[in-house]
Amino acid sequence: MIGEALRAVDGLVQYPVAGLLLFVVIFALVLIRVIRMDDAYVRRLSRLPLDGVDAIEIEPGAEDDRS
Amino acid sequence: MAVDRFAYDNRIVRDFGIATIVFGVVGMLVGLAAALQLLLPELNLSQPYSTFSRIRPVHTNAVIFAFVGNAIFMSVYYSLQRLCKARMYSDLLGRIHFWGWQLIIVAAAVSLPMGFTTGKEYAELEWPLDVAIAIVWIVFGINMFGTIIKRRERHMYVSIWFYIATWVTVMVLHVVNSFELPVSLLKSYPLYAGVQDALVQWWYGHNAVAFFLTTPYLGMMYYFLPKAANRPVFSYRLSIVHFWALVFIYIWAGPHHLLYSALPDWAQSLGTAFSIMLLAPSWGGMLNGLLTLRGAWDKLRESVVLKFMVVAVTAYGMATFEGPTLAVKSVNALSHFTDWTIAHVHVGALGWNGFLTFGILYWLIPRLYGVKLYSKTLAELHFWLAFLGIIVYVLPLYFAGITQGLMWKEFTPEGFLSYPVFLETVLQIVPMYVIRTVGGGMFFVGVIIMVYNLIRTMRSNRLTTEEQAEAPALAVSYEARGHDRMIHRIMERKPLLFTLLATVAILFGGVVEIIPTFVVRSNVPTISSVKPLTPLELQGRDIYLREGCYTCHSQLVRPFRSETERYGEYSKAGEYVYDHPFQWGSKRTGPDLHRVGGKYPDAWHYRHMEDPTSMSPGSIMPRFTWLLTDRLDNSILSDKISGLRRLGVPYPEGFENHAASVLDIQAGEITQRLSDAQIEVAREWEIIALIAYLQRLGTDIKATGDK
Repeated sequence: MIGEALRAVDGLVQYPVAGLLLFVVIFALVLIRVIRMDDAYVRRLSRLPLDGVDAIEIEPGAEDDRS
Repeated sequence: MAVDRFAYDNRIVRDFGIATIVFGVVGMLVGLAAALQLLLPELNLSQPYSTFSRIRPVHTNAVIFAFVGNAIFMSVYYSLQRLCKARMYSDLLGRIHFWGWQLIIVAAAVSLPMGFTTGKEYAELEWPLDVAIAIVWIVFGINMFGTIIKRRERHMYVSIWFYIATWVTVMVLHVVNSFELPVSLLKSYPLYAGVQDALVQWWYGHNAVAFFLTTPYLGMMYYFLPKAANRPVFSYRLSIVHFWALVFIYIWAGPHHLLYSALPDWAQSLGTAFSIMLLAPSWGGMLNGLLTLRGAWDKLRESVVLKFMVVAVTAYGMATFEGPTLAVKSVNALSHFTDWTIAHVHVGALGWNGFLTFGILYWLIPRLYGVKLYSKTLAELHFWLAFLGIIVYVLPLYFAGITQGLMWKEFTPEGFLSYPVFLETVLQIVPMYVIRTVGGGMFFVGVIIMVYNLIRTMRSNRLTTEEQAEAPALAVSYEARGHDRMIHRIMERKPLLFTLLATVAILFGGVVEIIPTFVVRSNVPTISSVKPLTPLELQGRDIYLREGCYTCHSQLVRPFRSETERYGEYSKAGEYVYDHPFQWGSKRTGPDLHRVGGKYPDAWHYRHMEDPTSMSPGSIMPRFTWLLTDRLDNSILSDKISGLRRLGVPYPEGFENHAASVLDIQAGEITQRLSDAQIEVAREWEIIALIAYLQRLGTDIKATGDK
C-alpha cells in the first residue's frame, strides 16, 4: 500500500533537493540561535568536564617521573 | 539544598579497558597476519580457517567492534557517570552488557574463520549474532539513558549528545541492514538484493564509520581532551553547530562507496555532494579539539597523553579531508578498488581511533588505580614507534593505490591496454605491501609496549572500585527563566526530546535515498534474460561467500573503456536482481570477476583453485585445496531454494523437491568436461559447485546480446 502510494508521487527523486534546502534553512536557524547564546551559560557548559575535583588525584596532567 | 553521596563504578570501566587492550592486540595481530599472507600466501598453512579471505573479516570485526567498541564503552561508562554526577543506572545491566559483548566477539572470532558469514562487509556475522548484538545494544541503551535520566547535572554536556546519536543510529543501522531470512541456524539471505542491497549495505557501512568510529570518539574527545589539558573546549557554540550538521549530513554519504557502479546516478551524486559538505562539520570538530590547546601547546612537550590525543585529532582532520576528496567522482574513478582506500581507512583507524584510545588509556588507567603511569619513557617510545608506524603503513599504500589505478587505465598509442594482465599490476605493488607490513608491525610493537606499561601500572596498586562523590540532588520542579528558555537549552535538559530530534536528523537522509531506490522501478531496469542461479550455481555462490572471495575480487565492471576492454561489458543494475547478497566488492587484490563466465575452461578454474601460481605465475592468491576434497553439503539446499523464493527469486513452486537431481545432472556435465581435460574428480566435491558459479557470472546478458 505504501509502495503504491509512493509510486503515485510524481518526481519522487526531487525530494532530496527539498531535503537539502530544508537542511540549509535549519542549519541557518541553528547558527543564529548559537550566535545569540548567553556567554556565561556557554562558559559554564564548556567547563562541565572540569567541574569538581577528581577523587583520585595524581597531579592533573602528569604521567610519571619514574623514567 | 540536599547533597547526595554516591559512588562511581570504576570496576566496569576497568573491565572494558582490559577488554579494549586484549582485543586490540588480537585484532591487530590478525591484521598483521593478513598483511603477511599477501606477501606469503602459503602462510595460510593450506587451512581454510587461516586463509586471508576468512581472517580479513576477523581483523575488521575485531578492531572495529572489539577494540574500538570496548574503548567506547570504557569511555562512556567513565565520562557519563561524571558528566551526569550519577552512578550508572544499573550495575547488573553493566555486567550483562560487558559479558554479552565479549561473548559476541568470541563467537565472531570462532564463526568467521569457520566460514559462517553473510558476505557483507562489516556485517558478516550471521543472524543469531545479529540478534545478540541488538539485545546487548538495547541493554547498553537502557543503562545509558537510565543514567542520563537520573542525572544530578541538569544540562547534558556535548559528549552526551554524541553518545545519544551513536546509540540511536547504530540501532537503526544494525536493525535495517540485518533484515535477513534464516534458512538454517547459521545461514541466512538478506532481504535485499543487488543494487538495493548495495545501497542499504553502504548506508550501513559508511555510517558504521560515522556513528561507531566517529561520533562516539568525538564525544570521548570532548571529555578526555579537556580533562587531559585541564582546559575547557575551545568553543561550545561550535560544538553545537557541528554536532547537528554532522549527524544530519553523514547519513547521506553512503553512496560514495558506489560511484560508477550500477547504483542510479542521482543517488551517486547525492553521496558525492553530501560527502563534500561533510568536510565542514568534521573540521569543526577537529578545530575545536586542536584549538582547545591554544596558548598551551607547551604542555605537549611533557604530556604523552596530549601527544596521542593531538595526533589523533590531526589524523581525524586528515581522514575527513581525504574522505570527501575520494568521494569526488573523478578522484574515485582512479582510487576505487585500490589500496588508496585501505590507506584512507588506516589513517582514520590507526590515527584517530587508535591514538585517541591509547591517550585515554594512558590517562585513565593510572587514575583508576590511584598511581602514576609506570613508565613515561615507554609511553613516549610507544608514541613515536606508532606514529612512525602509521606513516610507514599509509605512504606505500598511497603509492600502491595510485600506481595500480593508473596502470589499470593506461593505453598504448595503438589503443590497447598497456597492462592487459591484471597480475602485472599486482606484482608492481608487492614491494609496497612489504613496507606496509613493516609499518603495521611497528604499530603493533607499540601496542605491546603499552600493554606492558599498563600491566605494570595496574599491578602497582589496587583498583579504586568505588569512587566516592557527592553532588546536590536535582530539583524536582524546575522553572526555566531567561536564556534557559532558548530552544537548544531546552533540548539539553530533556534527553528524550533530544533523542527524538537526533533520530529524525539521522533518519532523513536514509529515507530520502533508500525509498526511491526501492520504489521507483526505473532505478533498476529489468533484463529479461537474467534468470535465477541453478541449484549447483547457488551452492557455488554460497561457497564464494563462505570463502570471502569478495575481499579480493569485485563483481562490478565500471563504465570506463579501460574496464570494458579488460573485463567486458560494463555491469548493469538489472543483472543483480537475484543476488542475495550483492557481491560487488570494494577492493581488487585480484581481478574483477563479473564477466569471468566462459572466459576460461573448467579445467583452468580447477587448476587455479588447486594452485593459483600454476595458471598465473607469481600470483599472491592462496591455494583453496580443501575445495577439491570437501564434499558439497546439500542438506539445506531445498530450504535455500524455498527461502530465496520467499525473497522474490522466481524459482518455480516445488522446484526445491527436485533441486538435488538438477544439481547432480549439472555436476555430472562439469566432471565430464574435467575428465576430458585429464582431471578426474567426483561430482560431489565443492570445487564443482564453485566452477559452476564462476562459469555463470556475467553470462546472462550475453544470452540475448543485450548491450
